[in-house]
This record gives sequence, structure tokens and C-alpha cells, in this order.
Amino acid sequence: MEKAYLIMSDGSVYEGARLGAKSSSVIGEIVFEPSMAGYMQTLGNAAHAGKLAVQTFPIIGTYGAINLEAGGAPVLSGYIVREACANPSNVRMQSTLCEYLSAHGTAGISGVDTRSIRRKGRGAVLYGMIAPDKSNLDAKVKLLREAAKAASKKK
Amino acid sequence: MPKNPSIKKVMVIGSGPIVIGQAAEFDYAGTQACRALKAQGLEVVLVNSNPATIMTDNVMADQIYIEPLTVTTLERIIELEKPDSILPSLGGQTGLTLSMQLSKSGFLDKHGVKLLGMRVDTIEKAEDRQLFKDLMQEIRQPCIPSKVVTDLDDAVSFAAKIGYPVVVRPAYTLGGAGGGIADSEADLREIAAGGLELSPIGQVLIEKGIYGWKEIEFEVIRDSAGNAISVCSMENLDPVGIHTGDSIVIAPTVTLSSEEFNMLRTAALDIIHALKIEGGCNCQFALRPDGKEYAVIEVNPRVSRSSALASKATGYPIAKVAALIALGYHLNEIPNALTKKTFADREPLLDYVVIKMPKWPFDKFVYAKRALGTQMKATGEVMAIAPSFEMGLLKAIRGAEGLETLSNPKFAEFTDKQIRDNLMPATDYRIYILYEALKRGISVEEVSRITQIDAWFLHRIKGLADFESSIAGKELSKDEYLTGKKLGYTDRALEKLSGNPLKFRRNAVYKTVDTCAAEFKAVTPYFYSTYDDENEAAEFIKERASGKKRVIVFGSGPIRIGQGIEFDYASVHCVWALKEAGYEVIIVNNNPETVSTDFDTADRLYFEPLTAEDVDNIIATEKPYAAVVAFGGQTAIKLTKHLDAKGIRILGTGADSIDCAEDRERFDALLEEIGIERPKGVTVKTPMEALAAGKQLGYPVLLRPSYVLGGQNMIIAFSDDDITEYMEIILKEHPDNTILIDKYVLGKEIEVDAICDGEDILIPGIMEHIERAGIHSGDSIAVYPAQTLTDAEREKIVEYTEKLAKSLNTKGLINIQYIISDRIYVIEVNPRSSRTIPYISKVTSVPMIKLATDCMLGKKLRKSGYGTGLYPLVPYTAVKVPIFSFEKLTDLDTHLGPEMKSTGEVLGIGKTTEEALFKGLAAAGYKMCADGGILISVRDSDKHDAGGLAKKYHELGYTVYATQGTAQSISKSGVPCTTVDKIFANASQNTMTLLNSGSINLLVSTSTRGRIPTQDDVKLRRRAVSLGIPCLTSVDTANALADSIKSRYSQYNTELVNINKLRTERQKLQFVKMQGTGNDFIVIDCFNTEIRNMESIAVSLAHRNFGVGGDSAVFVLPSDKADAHMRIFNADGSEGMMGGNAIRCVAKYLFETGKIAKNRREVLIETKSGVKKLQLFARGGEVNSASVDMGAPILSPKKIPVKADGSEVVGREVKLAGEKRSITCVSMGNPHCVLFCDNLAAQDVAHIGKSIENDPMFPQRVNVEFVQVLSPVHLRMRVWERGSGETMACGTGACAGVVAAVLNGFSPKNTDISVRLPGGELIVHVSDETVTMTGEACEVFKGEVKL
Repeated sequence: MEKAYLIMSDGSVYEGARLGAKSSSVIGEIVFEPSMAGYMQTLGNAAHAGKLAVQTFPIIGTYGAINLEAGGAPVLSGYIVREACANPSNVRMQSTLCEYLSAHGTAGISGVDTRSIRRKGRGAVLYGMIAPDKSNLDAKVKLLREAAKAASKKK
Repeated sequence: MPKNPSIKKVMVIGSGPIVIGQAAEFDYAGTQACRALKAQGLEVVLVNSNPATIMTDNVMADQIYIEPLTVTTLERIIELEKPDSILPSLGGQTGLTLSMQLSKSGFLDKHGVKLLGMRVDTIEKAEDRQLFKDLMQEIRQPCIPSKVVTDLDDAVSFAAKIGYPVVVRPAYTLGGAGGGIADSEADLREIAAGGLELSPIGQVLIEKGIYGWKEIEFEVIRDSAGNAISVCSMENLDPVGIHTGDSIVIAPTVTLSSEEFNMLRTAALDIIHALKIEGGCNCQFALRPDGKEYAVIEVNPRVSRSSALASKATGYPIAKVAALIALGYHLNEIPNALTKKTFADREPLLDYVVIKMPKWPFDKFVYAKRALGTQMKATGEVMAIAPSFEMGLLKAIRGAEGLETLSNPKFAEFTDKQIRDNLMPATDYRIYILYEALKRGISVEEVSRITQIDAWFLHRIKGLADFESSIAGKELSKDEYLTGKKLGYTDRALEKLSGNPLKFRRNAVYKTVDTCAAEFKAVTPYFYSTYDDENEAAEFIKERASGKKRVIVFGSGPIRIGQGIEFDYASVHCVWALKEAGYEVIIVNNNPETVSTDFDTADRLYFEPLTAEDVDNIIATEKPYAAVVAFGGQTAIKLTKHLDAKGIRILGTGADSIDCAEDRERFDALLEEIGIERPKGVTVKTPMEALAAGKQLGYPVLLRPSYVLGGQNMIIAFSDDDITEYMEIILKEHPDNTILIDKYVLGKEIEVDAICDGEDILIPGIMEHIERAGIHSGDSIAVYPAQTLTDAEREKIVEYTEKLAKSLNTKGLINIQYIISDRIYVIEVNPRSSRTIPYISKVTSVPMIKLATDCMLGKKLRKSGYGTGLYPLVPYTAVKVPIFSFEKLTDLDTHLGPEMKSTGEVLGIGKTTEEALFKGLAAAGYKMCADGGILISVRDSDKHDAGGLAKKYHELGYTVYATQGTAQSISKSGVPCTTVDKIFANASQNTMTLLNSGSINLLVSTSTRGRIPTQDDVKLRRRAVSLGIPCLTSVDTANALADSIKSRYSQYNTELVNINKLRTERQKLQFVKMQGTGNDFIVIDCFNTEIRNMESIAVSLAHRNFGVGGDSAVFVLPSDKADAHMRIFNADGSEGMMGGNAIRCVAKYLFETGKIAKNRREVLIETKSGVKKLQLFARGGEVNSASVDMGAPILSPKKIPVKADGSEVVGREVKLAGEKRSITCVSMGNPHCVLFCDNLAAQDVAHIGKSIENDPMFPQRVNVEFVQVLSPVHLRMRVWERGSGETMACGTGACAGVVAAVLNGFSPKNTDISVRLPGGELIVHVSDETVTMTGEACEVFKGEVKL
């Protein structure tokens, strides 16, 4: 298991495990996806394009990846889940969720307290970064804070 | 749309006693519905026969009837209470079926009562297999190939067409009782035969076996505007083939892809729309594992067990929302109480998973078949909430079974082959077998192939086994520890698994169930534990900062035999009492079917197992002032020692006292000190010692292993053989166990619940069991107040109770059982809430839990307003009758003994013991047949009672059959009796063939020889269960049943007792005894008092030995159409139409009491057959006689009613009462059948009258007149009155007699005809327009009577 970190514009940092593509780091606005069975749709949801999506249901990847359900390649920049299932089970699955994300070069993080993130996101614009380490933390948070501020002004 | 304003008074029908398949979930649902209705300002009338529930508590509804759930009783309550609507969908199958019967018979329409949220055709479409299939076809929802059949051959030929295996599902049975899977024609014949028999309409469905498909459920809800949402999806761990009530369930679904999920969700919504349900609906689907095909298995158009689970799992209160929808509200108008921001039209969003685990009764029932199938066997369930499947599963296992891992020691020694063999068929041990198999390296694929369980679940279980082996022998790192905690292991389990003490420990934190996946902040949250970093519960407590002291109340966990819904009643009341006393109250429980786990019962709810570590974690967050364990049954009591060791303050009776009551040696020492005796006993370890003990103490003796509490695995041994058999069973399971053997004292059993404040006690009531000691108190019929105690015994019981309560330092409740034989022995003491608390609280109106809670908080009983010592008797007798679920538990001997077997109970309450017992037994489903066949087979120790019992049934009109020994005893007492061979003695004609022949209505079998299913007596009793023949295993119960049948009570005349309007003293009535021509009446003035139990008063007062004596009771009420309204009730409680003699007496009464002016000579009286005009003949201010205009006679057979053709029945020859007779039928507002004869004195009026009265020719029964024509103007007559017997005179009968004489040409019209009756003379005048009758009216005496 490779460690990964979710660093957020409010200064919080979550330690988890890398999910999907090995990449340096991805940045984006944090958005929340509450659906319980439709994680493949989350990945392909145009509204999440370029963003980091948090799936609030905790057990994700249970039926693996079914490309058809995603409607093509993932459009989001990063995927944040509590638990990514290593042993999915479905006759129609083509790969595990992790393999699918890797294959499409999408980064993600698992093993984080998604409910905690969701609570922080109530009524606030949050930006986040999925990173392989916590180096230069202050600078990263500052960068994210500015991005969040700019985005909330626009809204 | 807002509430429908025409709804003002709603009747809610509850689900009755707890049985397997219909359990506490309906207490939760019904309670929620009642509260929702009351909150809307509606008047609520509740009917439920179950006294143990919180639903039947006095605050839950305005009018509460704990009455038998039968159509007749409901009709009477509707007539009495006049509700405008019925809410049918919240009382389970029972409530639904009854509502449907009331509606289909036209009764509801006739009384202007609406069914809320439900249409009869909806219920039929959902419940009738064929109609349902047709509807599904119409909306293109696939069903499994199936066919409804009503006979065996049809079943077999259809099965041959679709191929085996096939599933057999009987129509209209609870929890699928009587169903099963057949792999061959032989199987099918056996199962279908049983199913056809159990189905009340003799219908079963034969359907293609789809074992192995996934079983998925959706709970959906819809309003009258057609808005519908899916509240929750659920997935069974077990594939189709195992009842969902017996499967581990996860919510939401986890192995369904988005496409599969949406396909089924859409199907569920399509179904609820097609059925036009306004309320909740449960849809069950089978999904082929490849996701390509699905089928609708079942639809429940009502709140169900799964909806209780779904409600607790999501925080969406389905029952409450369904009740509001029924009132007319739309989903988008019903606010979400958790968020206070959203509405009920939003589908709940979960950010956790929920695991449901069934609780089975097999620990108690050693011989019952443990295999699981389409027939549900679990008695209860636990629910666990967690962010992962593993953690949820381990929480559930802890909560249901007390095990800390999936490793069940029972299977550790199994060989691999044994494990493999045990994978199928599934039993209640399934989860442990799966774990054991995967741990031993049997592959996920293989296990999945054998069991058809989705690999996803198996990988998870294997993951737990892998983790366990990865830490074996290791000192855990911080990461490993945390991984373990997140998987759900307790610290103790991790220490045991790793074999090392833990270096790290941490407490759990809490997350919130909020229906919105944290989008909004929850206002009334409830919590579950996780091992993350944020503690939402701690935050909430801090923000709330109420400043109140916090008290934790521990609930009772899953419903099981011996620990039922009554403990939830107690827990909820304790929460309320503590809130009222100013505390902030926290409840901990894990049962999704209960009221205690409603998020608005306590200030905070923790949905957690009731085990040491889980409790410690809650305490660490809550930092309570104190904890309460006394109301959560043994589950909570078990925590006492642990809490005490942790230094937690326990309110009420302390840990030491609880230990003293449970520790045999300490308890014996205490008894010795205070001078109270207990039956002698010894402790043994081997069969030899046990046999010696049996000899030393003398048989019978009571045996039980020392590890059990509460009657588990206890038996009474009557012989060496019994001891040998039983020692083998105990020692096989627990070779090192110590066994306690006590002298078994025969005697009457007395039970007391008392409240103690440390100084004084209050005993609300003393109960006596109908069955002598030896039957578990939970399985006996308990009568309040005790019936046969002498004053001296009663005083002694009070004294002993006080001594025991005080010497155990009781603060709160204590339950004590005594046996009285040569002296009084104490047999059991429990310083905690008991099974009988709700029953006694409701009957005596003493709020026991509140008083007990106050005592725990230091208040004194002296100041409670309820006094101390023995509470005064209330003017009612009440019986608690146990209910069993034997038809669900195949192979279980129905013989009652010291081990409890009942799952629920019903109440019977009345003015007298007979009335209460009648109601209790009727509520329990006994058919109360007045004749039929009884088969008696008793053990030797009961033989001397057999004669008396047989005599009672013989006198009732039963044909008595008995096995040889029993028959000998019976014959000695002179009762005719047919001897029947036992099964082994005669293969072709024996007890079994007799039972099968249909001539037996009641079986009394008390033999205990062998509890083993293969034994003959057990077989016979089981056969009775499957035939639906009541089987009593105690002579005492059989005697009580006979007495009750013999009593004059029927479903039509018992008093309907409103628990919220109980009398505090006996009913006092002023009456005037009057008579006219010897026809006598008890006239009761209701101008100033409301009387609601007229039928029952008539039964009591009319009796000539035990009452005032009279042919009828007449009630005089105000009328808006006439001078007064009279209602007349016969001695059997049936209501008469008018009463020609009674009406004259009523006229006299009105005149002489000044209710009409003294100068009036004409008076109008309203009767059931219209307003009647009377002419008074008064002299000196008194009326001596009166004429009544009886109206024109009715001759049309249809209107009389009599089943005959033509326009009238005059002098018609028919065969009646065994002979050809010439009859004339007339109605004078009530039906009469007139027979002319030559010798009146020689007529066998009683015999002929009774048989004509009850002849099917007269659908409303009939009065029978025997008339002798002396001359055209002189008739002599005797009358057999329906419901009363031969009477001195019958006014309408005299009129009918003269009308018949005129019609037959014996007497002239327009002439005064004298009718001489045994009680005097009546003058009847028949004109073309009407019939007038003149006769005397006399007052006999005045008085006051107490009932």
C-alpha cells in the first residue's frame, strides 16, 4: 500500500492510500457525490470534470469497473473514497476500480474519513490536493486557500 | 395537500401478540403511527390484544382496547366508538387481514368508516397470488413461473412442466408458514399437502425454484399525489431460498452495479404506482447473479419487518410518514425531523452500511430443526451500523450472540469434511461455518459455488480470517491495532488473537445518522461508533450543554424467547421518567424493531451492541452521572458487574444485591437468615450422582445446568429415565458442567412484582398461575388478582416480599415467584423489571416503571400518592395468556415445562375471572367450541385429575376419547369414554389416525416421556399443531378452558374494556326490577349516566343465582325521536329488537318517575324496530297496564328472515327438529316460528325450541311459539325465546301467535283475543293495519347492585 495525502484549503490533511494512477499530485475543487450505488457514473459525471469528487458512501468499487456505466473515460481529476474494494464481485466487471482509474491515469485516494470531509464542505468552497507526500505543506495549503477564495468569489 | 379535514377519529388495529414472523416491529410501527395521528390532533382508538407493548400504553391513544383481535370484537368497538376511519397498514398481516374482512363484509360502508391509505382491491392484488401475477404482467414486471393450485395433483403436474426444484408458498399465512422447497415429487406431495392445510383459503403457489439468485428488497413509499421515493435498498447475504427474516441483511445493496440497482429501484416504484398504494410498500426481488434477469418475489402493501429495519437504518420514519400520507399529506409537506431542513420527498442518503443479524431460538429448543428455508424461524434481530461491512458484521455478532469473532468454538474441532458438509443446507450457524471454511483454505469460489452466496461477502469474511492469522503471535503495531479496530474487533479479541497484551488502546468515536450523508447538520441525531478521529457525539454534547445530569439507560437487545418486548416497554418508560425528573437521557440498544431505538425516544440514541467494550466507549464520550440496568432484562443486568468495577454509579439496586440474588450459595444464606424456605436441592456432576440425588430428594425433581438463567434447558424429571436422558444432553454439550437438582414442589404458583424504595414496598398486585408449578411462569396463564389465596397466605406473601426486597437492598423493581404447597416456598427472585410489569401496570393503572425509576432516584413511595404495602384491588380481573409459535418451529415438542417456549402474550380483562379468561383464551385463538371431540392422554401423576376433566367436557357436550390408562381413570368417575390405542400399539387405528380423522377439536396430552421428536407423544402433539388443533399439555389449562366455555360469555357479550377509562371501583347500578305477565326485567335508567357495557351487564345481572335475576336487562335512554329510547339485552348478552312486555314496563317507569307529564296517556318509545306508541291505563298516579301498538306483522320470508320461498310461510309443512312440522313464520320486529298443537303441556319446548332456534333455516335464529287454540278468542301459548330459553311470557310472541291464528283461520280479525301464557294473560287485537297488545306492567322492587 502506497501512502497518499489529501491536503485541503482549510488546512486539514488526511492520510490515506493511493488509489489509481501514480501521479505527482492533482488539484481541484472538492465536490461531493452522495449516490450509493452509482460510483461509475460519478467518474464520468460532466459536472465533476476537473474536480476532486468525494464519494460519501463508504464502500466503493464493490462491483469493480464496468466501463459502460461510466459512459467513457473518467472526467474528474481525482477521486476520494473511504474504502476501495480490492475484491469486487460482478459478472460484468472488467477490472477493479483501482485498475480502471490507473488505466485512465486518474488519481485517487482511499482510506480517508469521507464523512469528515463532507462536514467540512457544508456551505464552504473547498479545494484539495491529492499528493504522494506532505512536503511543503504550508505552501500547498496557501495555494489551495487562494484557489478556494477565488472560486467562492466567482460563486 | 393538507390533512383531509373529514378525518377526526381514527381506529388503529395493532398486530396482536408477538409470534415468529410478526414481532416487535409492529409495536414500533403502531406506536409511531399513533403518535403521528395524535400530533395531528386526531382522536385515536387503538385495538391490540398485546399487553406487553408500549403501543397499548395509556398515553399512546385516546381509547385503548386490549381486546381479542377478531372481526366480531372490532365490529363491536366500531359500533361503540364510531371512528370515521381505520388505518389498516400498520398492524402487520393481522391488521391488514382484519381490515379487509371488515371492509369486504360491507360493515365499514354501513357504518361510514373509511380505510385510510389503502384500498381493498390493492390488498387483494398484492396478496392474491393470481391477481398479483396478472397485475405484474400488465405492468411488465417479470414473475417467476408459477401456478396457484388447490389440490395436490395439480401441483404435481405443474411442477413436472416447469421442472424441479419448485417452491411451495401457501396463500395468506404468516411469515410464509407451511411453505418449503421440493426437489422431487415425493417432497412436493408432502410439503404441498401441509401448505394446503395451513392456508386459510386452501391455496398454495407452486413456483419455479430460483435458489441461488440474489435476494434484494426495496422499501418504497408513495403519497396520494403519486409522488414516490425509494427509502432503502437491502441485500440478503443468503441467496433466494432462505427467508429474508432468517438471513443476514446489508443495507444499502452492495454487490449491485448501478444499472442493476436502478433496474430494481424503478421496478419497485412502478409496482407501488401500479398498486396505487398511499403509504409504505416492501418489494422483494430475485436477481439472477449475472444481472440479466430479475423477478418480483413478493410485495407487502403495508409497513413490514423490513420497513422497521429500513427506518432505523436510514433515519427515515416510514411508519410515521405512512400515517401522515394516509391522512392526506404529500411527501413534500412532511418535514424531516432529523435535519429540520428537508422533507420526506428526499431519498435518504447513507454514508455507512447497516447489517442486520437474526436472533434464533434454537439455544432454547434443543430438538427443533435448525435448517433455514422459506419459513422464518428467528424471533428477533439486531442491527449494527458501521462504515464497513466487517465492522458491522462483528458488531452484529457481538450484539446477537455475545461472540467477539466469527470463530465459534463449536466448529473448531470439526474436520474439513464436516465443515464442507455443513455449508449446505444452511442453519443458524451459517456465518460461522462460512468463516471456518474460508479460514481453512476452502476457496471463495468453492464456497460460493456450494452456497450460491455472492463472492463479495465471502471475500470479506475471508479478509477477517486473513487478518486474524496475520496478527497471530504478534505484538500489534499501532497501525495493526487500528486496522483491527476498524475491522470491528474488540480489544479483548485482538489480545486473544494476537496472543499478546495490547500496547495501544483507544476509544471509539461516534458518527451521526442524519439521512443526508452529512449535507446538513442533524438536529436530533443518533450515533454509531467508528475508529476515526472526529467525535460528533462529543461535539453535540458540548454544543447542547444542557447542564442536566446525564443518565444512560441500557436496553434489552434482540427479542428472544424469555426476553421480549416487555423490556422495551420498561426501557422506554424509564427514559420518559428520567426525562421528566430533569435528566438528559441516553439510550443504548441494538434492536431495530423497537420503540426505544426511535431517535426521538431518548435525548440521544446510540445504536450499539450491549457488550462491555461498546458500553465503555459510550461512557467515555458521555461521561454520565449514572447508568440504569434494571429495565433491559438479562442483557442489561449482565453489564452490572462490569460497570460496577469501572466505578459507574448504577441507579437502583446495586451490583452486590444482583449478585446475591443470582449466586445460589449467597442466596441460600440470605434466605436462611431471614427465615424463608426454598425447595431443597443439591449440586451434582455425574449421572450417578444425579440418580442418587433423585432418590434422595424424591421425584419429581427439577434439573438444570448451573450456567443458565431464566429457565433455559431446565426439565422436571419424574423418573430415573428422565434423569439419564437429560444428563446425557447436558454433559454432551458441556462435559464439565455442574448440574443443580432441586426437589420439585407441586403447588400453586404465585408471582409478585413489587417496587421498593429501600424502606417501603408497594405491591401493585399478586398474580396466580392457572397451571400449577412446573410450567415456566412465562408459559402459564397468569391471573390478577390471585384467585385462591387465603387471607393468611396473602399476608405472608406480602411479608416475605417485603423481607426479600429489603434484605436485597432493592431500589426499584423486584420480581418474586412463590410456590404454595404445605407452606410457602420462594423459587425465584429477580431484583429487576420482569415480563409481567406492563400487564400489571396497565391493569392496575399503577405506573410501575415511573415509580421504580423515582425510587432509584431517591424518592419515597410514601409520597408517591400510590401508598405502600399491597395496593387496593381494582374492580377487574385480568389474565395473561401465552402465545406460541409452534407451527414455525418444526420438530419442537409443544409440551410445556420449566423451559419457556412462548413468544408472546395476550390479555383478557373483565369484571370476573370467567369473563377475563374467556377473553384471554379467545384472544389467544382458541375456538371455544361448545361441543366436539376431546382426546385425553395424561401421564400417571395427572391420572387422578383426568376424571374431573373428562366430566367437564362431557357435560359441555364433547365426546371423550382417551388412551388406555387415562381411559381407565376416566371410566372410574363414570364418564363415558372411548379408549384409543397408542400409535405403537395399533398401526391402523390409533390416536394419530383419530386426530387425522377430523373428529377431534382438542388434544390434552401431558405425557413428558421423551422430548425427542421421534417419540409418539411428541409426534401426536406436532400433528395437532400442523392440523391447527389446540393441544394443551397441562390439565389445569384444559380445566380453565372448559370452565371458560361453560361460562355464559361469548364474543358478543363480554365487556369491551377501555384501558384509558378503567373504573376505579366496581360498577354501581340503580335498577328497578319489573315484570309484565311474568316476563321480568331489570330496568336501568341511563338518562344521567353513560353505560358502555350493556351486553355484559345483562349477562351478569340476568343470572338468577349470581345476579338480580331477569329475562332481560332494559336500558332507558334519552331519545330525540320519542319520549325515551329503550334497549333490551337478553340473558346471553344479545340485543333484542323491542320486547312487547318490556316496553309496557318502560312506559310505566317513564310515567312514574316523572319523565313524562302526569296527564299524558300516550307515550312514544324508540326501539330497535322503530318508534312505538303506547296507551297508558293509570289509576292513582300508577300505571297498571298499557296497550302497545306493535305495528303490522311482517310476513315476507326474506324480511323475517327465514330461508323459504313464496310471499309468506303460513301453515307450511317442513322438516324441522327431526320431524315434519307445520309452521307459520311472522316477524313482529323479531322473528317468530309458530307451531300449533293440541296438548301444550306435553310439548318438549326446550328440546324442540332449541333445535328450531338454531336451525340453519333461520339465519338470525328464531323465537318458537307453541300455541294451543282453546276457542277462537282464547289461545294458550308457551314460548321458547332465542337467546333466553323458555320464558313466562313473550309479548311479541303472543302477537305472533295471534297473527298466526288469524292467518290459519283459527281466530277472527278485529277482535280482542286472549292469550294465556304461563306468566299471565295478554290481550291481542289484530286489525288490517296493525297489531295492538294490552297487558299488565308491574314494579317488583328497587335496588342497587355492584358489578
